[in-house]
Amino acid sequence: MLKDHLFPKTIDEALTLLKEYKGKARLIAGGTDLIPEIREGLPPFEVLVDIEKLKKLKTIREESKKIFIGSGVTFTELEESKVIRNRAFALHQAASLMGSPQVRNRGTIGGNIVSAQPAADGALALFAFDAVLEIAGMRGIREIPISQAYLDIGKSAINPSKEILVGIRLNKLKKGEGSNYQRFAMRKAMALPILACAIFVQSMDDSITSARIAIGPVSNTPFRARETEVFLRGKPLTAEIFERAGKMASEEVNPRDSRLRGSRIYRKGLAAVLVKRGLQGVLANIG
Amino acid sequence: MTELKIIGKKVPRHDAIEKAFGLTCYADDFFMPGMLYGKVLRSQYPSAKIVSIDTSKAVRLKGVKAVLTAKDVPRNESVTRFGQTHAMGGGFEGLYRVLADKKVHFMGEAVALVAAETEEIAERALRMIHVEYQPLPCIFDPVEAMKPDTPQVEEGKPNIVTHFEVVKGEVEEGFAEADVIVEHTYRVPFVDHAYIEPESGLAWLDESGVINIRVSTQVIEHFRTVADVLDLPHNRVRVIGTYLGGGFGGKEDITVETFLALLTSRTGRPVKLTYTREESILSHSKRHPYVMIYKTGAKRDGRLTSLQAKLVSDAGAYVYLSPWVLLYSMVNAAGPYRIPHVRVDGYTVLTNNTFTSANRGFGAPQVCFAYESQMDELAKQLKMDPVEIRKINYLRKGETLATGQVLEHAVALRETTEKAFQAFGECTPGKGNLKIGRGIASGMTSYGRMIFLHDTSRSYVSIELDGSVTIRAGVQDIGGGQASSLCHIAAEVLGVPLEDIKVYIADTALTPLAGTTTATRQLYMSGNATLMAAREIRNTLLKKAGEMMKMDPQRLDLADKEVVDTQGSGKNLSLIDAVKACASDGLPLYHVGLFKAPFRNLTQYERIEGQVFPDFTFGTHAAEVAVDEETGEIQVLKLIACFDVGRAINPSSVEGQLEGGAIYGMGYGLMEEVIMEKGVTLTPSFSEYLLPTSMDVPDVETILIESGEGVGPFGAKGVGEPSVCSVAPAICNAVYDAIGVRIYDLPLTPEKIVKAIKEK
Amino acid sequence: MNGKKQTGKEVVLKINGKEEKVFCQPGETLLYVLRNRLYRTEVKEGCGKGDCGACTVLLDGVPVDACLVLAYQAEGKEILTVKGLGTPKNIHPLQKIFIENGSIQCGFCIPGQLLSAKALLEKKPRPSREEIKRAISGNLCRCTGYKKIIEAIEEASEKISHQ
Repeated sequence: MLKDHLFPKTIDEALTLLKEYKGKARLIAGGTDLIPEIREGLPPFEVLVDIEKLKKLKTIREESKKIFIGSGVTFTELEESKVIRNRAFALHQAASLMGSPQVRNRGTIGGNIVSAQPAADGALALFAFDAVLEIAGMRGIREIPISQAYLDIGKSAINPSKEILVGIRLNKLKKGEGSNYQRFAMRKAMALPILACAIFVQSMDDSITSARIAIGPVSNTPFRARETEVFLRGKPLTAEIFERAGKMASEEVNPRDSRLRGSRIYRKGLAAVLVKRGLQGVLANIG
Repeated sequence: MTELKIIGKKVPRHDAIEKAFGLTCYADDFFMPGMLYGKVLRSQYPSAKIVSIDTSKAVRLKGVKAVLTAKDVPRNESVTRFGQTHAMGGGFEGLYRVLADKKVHFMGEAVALVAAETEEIAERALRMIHVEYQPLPCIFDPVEAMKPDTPQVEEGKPNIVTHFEVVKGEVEEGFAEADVIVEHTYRVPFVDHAYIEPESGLAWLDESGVINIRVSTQVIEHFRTVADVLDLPHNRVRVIGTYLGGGFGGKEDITVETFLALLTSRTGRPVKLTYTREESILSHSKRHPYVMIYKTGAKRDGRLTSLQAKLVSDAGAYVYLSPWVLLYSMVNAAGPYRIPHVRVDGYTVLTNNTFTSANRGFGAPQVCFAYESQMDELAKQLKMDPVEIRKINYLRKGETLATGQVLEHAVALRETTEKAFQAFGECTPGKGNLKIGRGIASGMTSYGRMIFLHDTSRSYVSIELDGSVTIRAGVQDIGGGQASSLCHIAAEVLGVPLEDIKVYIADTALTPLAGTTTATRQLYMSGNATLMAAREIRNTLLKKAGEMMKMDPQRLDLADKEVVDTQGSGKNLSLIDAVKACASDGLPLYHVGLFKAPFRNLTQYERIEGQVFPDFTFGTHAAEVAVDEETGEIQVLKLIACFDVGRAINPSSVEGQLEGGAIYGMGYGLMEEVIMEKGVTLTPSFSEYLLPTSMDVPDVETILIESGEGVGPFGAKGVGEPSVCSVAPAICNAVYDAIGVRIYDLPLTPEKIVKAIKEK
Repeated sequence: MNGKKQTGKEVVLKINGKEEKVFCQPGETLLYVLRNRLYRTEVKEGCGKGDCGACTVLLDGVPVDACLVLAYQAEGKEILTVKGLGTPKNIHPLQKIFIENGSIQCGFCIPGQLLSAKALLEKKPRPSREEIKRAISGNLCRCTGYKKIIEAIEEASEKISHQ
């Protein structure tokens, strides 16, 4: 049973509270994932430490080579940010497609990452950008690439009873770089994706120098189609290559049969289509 | 006929005004001092013996005021009734069991009830009730359940609840004559009504010990069953129906009423019970899944010769309205077509799935999916246009259905199809993987109840001394303007503006009973009752006015709160003066209109023959879809609904029903399915059970035809259910047009499309 | 004496411009507190977990599901319910047009629809049809098929922007 809900005024205060409660406290920001869990009576924590109002976590700022996104930035704020739209397009797309307006107005990118769901739209985009997470703990700040943040379904490497995800850094898209997000769901709003993929491509003179493809939900954590990424290196940005990349990605992913989400075969087929379309989309907005 | 003043005009509904301000109180919006919260403990198995129930811990929890099980229910078993006054036989009454007793029959069946000071305490108490179950063999497939050696769902009763047949001519002869025959098996799933307002009610004992139940319900007449269950006289249970946040047939059965009555009776305190969404999806009735094996034959020129169908519906664990729904399917199974030879065999079968009952369309949407898919399949084989083949076979007024029911009123099918098709306009161009297709489907859906139910409705209308008008009617308003349409009718007849009319609804103690809000019957039945009552008062007033004005009452009319001379003499009399004169002479200024639907008694229920329904509403849906061949995604680009509505009492309301029904049908066609696996619901909330959102809907165009030949007031027909039935097959036919593959089971999921394309 | 500290505190909620003090427990949603402590039943519960939008209120002008906001979190913010949008004596154009256009059937989703619409029109006075559809995509309706709701918002946007 919840005993208290506290509002620290700074990140340090929040960390101190977490330490005080020895694992019995849990961070909350928007609460869109956590509040339904509270309703179910699930979580074993006793105290909420609310960081929603901390201004430091709410910024989106351009640094010299990177973009910093505070963990408290909501999906609506992400969607409406010009910086994100211009410099990290796949994240803009992902933010605009998830949930409903009401959920986007409250859900934060930090909460999205820490909930460690393989289908989380925002997180998938960040995987494609190879984002780096800045985490504050009692011992100071540490940084981990987002690929290391997911341990299992619902299990994050960031412990919300001990540490605070402060923000996310990703490289600003440069000339020759592009990104795209593709999402397929059973209806056009308020639906978890059957399959989604985020793609980042670096190119030079019409040929791909590197690519990152993040797909979910096809396993316990967001999935990087590394073989397909390797295949794309050095290849031209043509429809034929996109088609082949799609097929490779389809072979790489290994979703299980799901009565709700669809069969393994169907979802593998979808992966081929979405990767292909994602690459087409990247081509359309390469800087 | 004199021009109508309000009927036919787009007028705001009185309830819409209150709803826009957030003033309307729905069932969960009521609170009473000392109120307790009720909760229901539900079965953990789809089929199990209840070895023991230990409530001792729950009873001792502080704040718990009652814990009840089957042994605490005075009469735990009775029969399901829906306003029928006499025993029907033929499977029309099923077992109604309040709480599971020796066994549980479906997952989610109610096993125990708790009332406590807070919801939280009540929930904790539920967890403290220890039920020992011994799982029993189960059966989940209705076709399997028909076989002799399968587990019996209800001890001592065969799983096959009812078998009906329709026989016309000799089907084998018909198939021999046919030049083409198409045979397919169609399947439709469990779906949920998904009203946004979950089931809810609040009950209390008044000062004389009468059980009062305020509840979101389509049928206040359940007060009789509640009284029987509690072993009380009928006049000591009162049901007050609130304005519903949607019904669609899901609040047609008893939901929370009996639970509330038991808990308030035991505790002596008011008790509120509101289902969570998960509880609603888990435990309330679902639409019947059907397996439909169809064989249809036609001659080369397109004329149908023969139709044979076997229908098997999944009744779930309790009978409820399954035989009724099946009967509707039987009458509708051959569609609105002229077919010399027809044989339909229908079965409804018990399984350990969630029980199934009424859902908008009531057995008609299921068979419409089958027969309208069949029509397009025939068209394909005959290389005929789908519109043409239908026009050749549509029934006309005066002809009969396969059951022998004569279609006594307008049958506007040809017109609805032509107009719907015309409204398509220019075809949207396809692009790359997006293939565009168009399809149509026609439907016939009854309105008004089956005529052997001796359906009646009552409406009390009175005019007050100041000229304002009061209506009291047992009508349950599920959001379709059931209450407001009565006001429109009274306004028309009495010449009083809508603002001066007040309607009180749905109170078994205070309003004359109007019958169920089901079967698209309220406008027809209660509208007519109100019309009768208003006309009585009108006649009284005009007679008196005629005396006062020294004129023949025949030339007088009521308009704008005045008695006017229609022949232009300019003489008039204020309504209030006429009212006062009547009152002073002791003339009644009120009347209870009793409208009786025509009825006949069925002597047997095995073979469905003759008139069963008062009338049908005919219409056609036309759909244009874009199918993404790579992902299987179907987008409905255009959806046109053209219906003969008889007379549009309030065109806004009628359009609203057609638009809403179109999307209700579209959800059925594309995305809705309560997935039950071995009796377990895998779509427990609105995250998994998907309804169309605003971003999924096409622009729905509605085209109203007014033949004036409905049996409702002013020639109106009902549209609430007809608006749904032909949508899914229209979409399915459009998908076929787009990609050349047909899907035989709903919903048309993207995966099914991709799979079908691959297999082509 | 069991030495247990009493949980909960008095929270100040500013609703429709007026401050109300209400005793809340941590973990109680704004929806729960609005309906059960303040009897603000104009805010409806359809699903309790953010899947339907029936409980939509405006929080500092922004539509949120009240079932996904904790009462403690709503302190210090402006909450608007449908009763703060307009009243019979002071009707909002959205309400007026919803009524006249036949956009209301069972009405259960309407408070949420109206508030999502209001927030949209404040942000974008002349939205496109697509923008309208998107703005109410988190408000499920089972009765109307959305058509008359979308039309009403469109009409209201024209009326309001001309005022």
